[in-house]
Amino acid sequence: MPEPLLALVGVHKSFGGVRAVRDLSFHVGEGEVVGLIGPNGSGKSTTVQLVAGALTASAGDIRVDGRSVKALPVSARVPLGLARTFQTTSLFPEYTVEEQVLLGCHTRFRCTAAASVLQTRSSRRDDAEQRDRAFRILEFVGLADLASVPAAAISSARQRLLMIAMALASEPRVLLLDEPAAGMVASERKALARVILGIRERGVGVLVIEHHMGLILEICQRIVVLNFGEKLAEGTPAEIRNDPRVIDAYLGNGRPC
Amino acid sequence: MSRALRVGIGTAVAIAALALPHALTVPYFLHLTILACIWTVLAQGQNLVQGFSGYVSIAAGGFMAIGAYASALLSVKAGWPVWTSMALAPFVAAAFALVVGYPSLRVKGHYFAIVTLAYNLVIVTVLNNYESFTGGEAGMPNIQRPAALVLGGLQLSFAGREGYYYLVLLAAAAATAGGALVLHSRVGRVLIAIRQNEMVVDALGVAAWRYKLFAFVASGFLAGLAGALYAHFIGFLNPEPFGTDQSMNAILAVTLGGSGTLLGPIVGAFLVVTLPEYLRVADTYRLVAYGLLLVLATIFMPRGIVPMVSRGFQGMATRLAAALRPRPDPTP
Ligand SMILES: Nc1ncnc2c1ncn2[C@@H]1O[C@H](COP(=O)(O)OP(=O)(O)OP(=O)(O)O)[C@@H](O)[C@H]1O
Ligand SMILES: [Mg+2]
Repeated sequence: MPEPLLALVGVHKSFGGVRAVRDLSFHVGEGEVVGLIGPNGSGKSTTVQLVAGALTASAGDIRVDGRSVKALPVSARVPLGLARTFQTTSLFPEYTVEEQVLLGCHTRFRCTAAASVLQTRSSRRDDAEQRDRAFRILEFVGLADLASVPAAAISSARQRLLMIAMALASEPRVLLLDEPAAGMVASERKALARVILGIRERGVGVLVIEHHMGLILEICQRIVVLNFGEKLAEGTPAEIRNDPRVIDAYLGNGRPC
Repeated sequence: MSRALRVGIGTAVAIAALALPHALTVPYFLHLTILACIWTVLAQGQNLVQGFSGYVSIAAGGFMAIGAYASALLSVKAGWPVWTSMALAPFVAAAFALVVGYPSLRVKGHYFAIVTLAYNLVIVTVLNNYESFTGGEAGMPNIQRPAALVLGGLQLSFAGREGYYYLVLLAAAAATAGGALVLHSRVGRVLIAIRQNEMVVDALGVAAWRYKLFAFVASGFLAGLAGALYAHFIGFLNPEPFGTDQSMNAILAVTLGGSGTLLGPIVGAFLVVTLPEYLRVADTYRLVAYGLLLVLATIFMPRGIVPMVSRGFQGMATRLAAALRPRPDPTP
């Protein structure tokens, strides 16, 4: 069997006495959207932090294409194809929408930083190419006409799309989205679903944390359910929706949306 | 501002700067201007770290001391030509910044400020106590000015104030140009992003610590250059002017002038050199008045003088443009 794109193998993470993630294993394949759901505090964001490298696992392994990335810092994982967004909107408030995405292009520049300081001709060409890329990504998420607006001045739903655009700029192979629909109304969620499905079509694997079950059931091929840091269930949307343990722990009787 | 206007203002400032020694009748004013140019070099370095990346270093005085003593020792004790030792001094300071910056830039936020403060204290203590080498508190006299240069039949002497003024003017211009190159590059974009949100910078695959270290080493380099220029201008060195007060002055120059701007450090450097002099009229209350002025300035101009003035200028320009715009014709 070929190695999955992203694999978590028996991952543990404790904060002092709090065991936030326990013996968690699952994988995300190419062009696959996997949902990660569970009650508040069940360890979803911690899982994203562990995969992205912002936190180090206490035990277990995290692999990209079969290669362990567990010991690598965040910045070394991005070039291997891991990119993420944050649960709380995290942007550069003084920069324009385009500049945010341009920073996201960081790992894709061909010229060195020194060449950029000295403004060599090839570095200027490099810069122009990255600006083009940034603009195309903004078109893809539907923010192109706001390219020169300061990021702090756009709506919070658009800021969440902008975070996705920044992550896409590094040309990830696995995209980790932590509650991308937070604070969105129905029409905005529709647009977001289209963007995520478009990302999948490009062959990127997506791990998406979301509380809005409608969105999760619509876009995911597979869903992993966490409870108290442990995997409670894993399966297709239909299996998860009808799993009595999941209904009991998370969905409740009244709200499979 | 339009390009033509900018070029015009730039040319006017350059001509004024070049003609200045002939316009200043009081030699002491030229002395202060030379110091302000040296402090501009220091402040441009401080700006790279504090203004761009948002990390406050309290070690500018210490690195200035390293540059000053390196150049003085190489020329006085080792007998090297002054030009050689002045050219090497910034590299010595940069090497120190590299060695101490590497571990301390891995801690985030305010710890960094404390760590750099400690470096400054250690440097001054070592200079004070290593008497056989540095002369301790009593100091090191007889530090020579650099030799005259002959360029295309033109004899350039640096023995007098006027010649030295052109040297420090060149250094200040070069430091500012270096800051401009960094600011307008990918490196500047990353540094200013670090100031805004370092966590996101990391998440985008940027090894932020490398950029911070670059800014810190470059600021050490400029502080070292400022120190060498200072040592050979004054001709005498002791550790006193390089204490944490001096580091505070560098911080103040950047904050007062306009953190993260290119002109801010220049304005700030002239202010921290000349303000205490102007306040001499207040005599014993001089330092109190200085302190009060600084407190008021930070309250009323938190972003510094340059951003405030440029915003005022832009506001005036838009109002002027609105007033000059032809009124719409009232007849249908
Ligand atoms: N840095 C930390 N230090 C200590 N405890 C932490 C830390 N981060 C998370 N925790 C704890 O770990 C557990 C899991 O938190 P996590 O943020 O992963 O939950 P979550 O599933 O994302 O919840 P939510 O739906 O509210 O975002 C919680 O009990 C939380 O208090
Ligand atoms: Mg969370």
